[in-house]
Amino acid sequence: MSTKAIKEPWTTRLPGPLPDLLAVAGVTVLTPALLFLFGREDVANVAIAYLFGIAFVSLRLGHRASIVAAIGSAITFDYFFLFPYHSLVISHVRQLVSFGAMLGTALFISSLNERLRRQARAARHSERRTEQNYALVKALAEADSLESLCTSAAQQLELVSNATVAILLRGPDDKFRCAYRAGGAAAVEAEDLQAAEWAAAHLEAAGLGTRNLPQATATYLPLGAARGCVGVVTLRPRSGGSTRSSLTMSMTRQIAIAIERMLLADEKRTALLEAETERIRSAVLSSVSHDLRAPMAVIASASSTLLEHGNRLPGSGREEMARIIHEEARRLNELLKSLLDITRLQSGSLHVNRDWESIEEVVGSVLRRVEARAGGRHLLTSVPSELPLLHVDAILVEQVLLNLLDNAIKHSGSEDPIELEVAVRGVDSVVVSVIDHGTGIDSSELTRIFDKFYRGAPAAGGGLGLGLTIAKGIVNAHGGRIWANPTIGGGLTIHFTLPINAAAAPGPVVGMGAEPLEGLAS
Amino acid sequence: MIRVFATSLETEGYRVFNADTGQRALEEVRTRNPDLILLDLGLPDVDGLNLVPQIRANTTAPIVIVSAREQEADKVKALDAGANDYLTKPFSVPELLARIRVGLRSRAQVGDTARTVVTFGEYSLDLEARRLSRGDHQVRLSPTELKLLTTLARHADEVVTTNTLLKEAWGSAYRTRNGYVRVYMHALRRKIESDPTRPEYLVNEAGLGYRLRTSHD
Repeated sequence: MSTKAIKEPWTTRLPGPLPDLLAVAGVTVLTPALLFLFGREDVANVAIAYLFGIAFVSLRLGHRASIVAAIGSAITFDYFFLFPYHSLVISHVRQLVSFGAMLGTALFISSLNERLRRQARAARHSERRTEQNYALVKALAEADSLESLCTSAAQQLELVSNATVAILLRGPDDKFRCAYRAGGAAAVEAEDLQAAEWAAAHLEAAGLGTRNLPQATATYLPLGAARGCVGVVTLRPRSGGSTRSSLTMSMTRQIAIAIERMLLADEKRTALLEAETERIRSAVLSSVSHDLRAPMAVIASASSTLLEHGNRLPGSGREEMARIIHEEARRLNELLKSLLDITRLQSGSLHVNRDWESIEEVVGSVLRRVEARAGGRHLLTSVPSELPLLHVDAILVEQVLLNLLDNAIKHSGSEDPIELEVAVRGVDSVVVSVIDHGTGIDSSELTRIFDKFYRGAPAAGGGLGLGLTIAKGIVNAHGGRIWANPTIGGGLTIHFTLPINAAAAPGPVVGMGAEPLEGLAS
Repeated sequence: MIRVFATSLETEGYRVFNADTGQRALEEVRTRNPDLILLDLGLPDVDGLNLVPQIRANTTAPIVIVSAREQEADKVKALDAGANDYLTKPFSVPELLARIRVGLRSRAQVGDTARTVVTFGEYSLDLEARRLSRGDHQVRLSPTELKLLTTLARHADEVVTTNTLLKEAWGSAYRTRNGYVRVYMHALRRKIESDPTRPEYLVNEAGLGYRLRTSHD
């Protein structure tokens, strides 16, 4: 919307008596011209010409000048164009009518113009107000946090008021904190505090330009919303004069509403989050306690059976009970071990006891332990004979491998082979991969499998879903990385790296393929 | 725990004496002169670790320490202080019996009856002649490899801590240089085992040391 159409010409703002003098000058110039053009016969046209001049003066030089022009023109008209010429005497009623009509019309035109001018000014003002309001509303709507909201609001306020703005927000403890101050947020100034408290308490403007604490250096406008006062806006005038206006007041109201809206949104978000967390927590707790109680229940009933029936049970029956108890006790032990491990990991009290270890030995140790559980599956290993020693905690790394292999066993059939590969990657890490050819998982779940208590859609074979989480924790504690990929042809592959600290490797050899130095024997 | 295992052991023909405090344990050792001692590191009145040297001072009988998982550092200390082997709770009865058998066998080796030849699989190590042979031909070992293997063989089927191996092969000045041991054990495995990643004889015990398995107990 352009304001050019109703812009006031600069000539209306000429200072002092200049417009009036120009008006007089205009009349003075006009008169001889008219005399020359029309002579004394064509009085009607002369009158119209004068009126035209007056209208022009009214448009260009303003209301007062046009009055001057009107009166001047009327007098001149009478003197030069009405009989008796060169005298102000009006000899006939007809001439009086002419004179009166001209003066009246002139004044009328003048006042019409003045009114038009006033309306234009008002429209311009209104338009500017609308633009400012729109800018504020836009800024408030775009804000995505309380801080940015206050910053935008304050900046808009500074644009329209002639003041430096600070916004103080009221916290839940009713204390004020500075959310925005030109030049960076800082603490609430002591001088502001008292006035701000008053304004907030009474929900009335205080400070400069008001009845309340008028000796203050700034004006304090409370931000009142449905829940009460959410804060106070301080306006410190930059170059004298008042900072309060109806525009500032209406903007302040809007800011208050926007702040309350933001606060409500934050509160809602927090409440939802807490509810969700609580829901997950109780779901996990009930799931875990169920998993722990189940084997306990079995042990209790199997042992109770043995006690109750004792010798009346056939040998095979007694053996069956004993076997069940043994199996469930083992399962319970595993579950408790997982829980302990994850607790230790999470509380940060996992002690990584590093020493120079051979990955080959760790693999061998793990394979021994796993072969019993592998249930006849083929465990194929590929470990290079030349591997550097790694500065790791052997027991923890064994745990990682064990968890990965357990996971592979759980998710693959008894006919599917499981592969374990070790390779040196570059000069700074060793990569260990456990490859299974089982059911595999969705690509979208590849990172989620390392989450606590994640058990996959068909929850496979016992366990709390902590194995991979613990593995990840241990790998990270060693400065390595762990990640999963689908196996080509179906299944899941998990890789993890362990860093090689070549610079600190022990004395005799860096790699382990070299012939040992016999001179080292003591 | 004691009740459970006493039953098992007595069934196997052993006579069992037990003590539930460290003090009583020492007394029992002195008075009964047992052939083997099972020591739980988590005794109520005294730190099991401190008991090991005290017991060792009173008897040459093998000490098998029993501890919970996570007490690796304690196990190493106990083994270095004179214990012979270990069991981790929870353990099964077969494991217990196997350990006891090994312990008793090694006890019988002390003195003149100490065996001079240790066999495992197709290999046989002549401790006096300092030779390892497989069937007819000799397997060449470096002096250090031989020292390591000999140490393991003298404690056949018992765990030997890395510290002990270091001391035997390099001297006590080389404590805490576990990397050396790893390197040489790797070399030994490559010479002896058909699959170095799945050793049958030279087995490593994570965090503790190594064991030479002569039988598949």
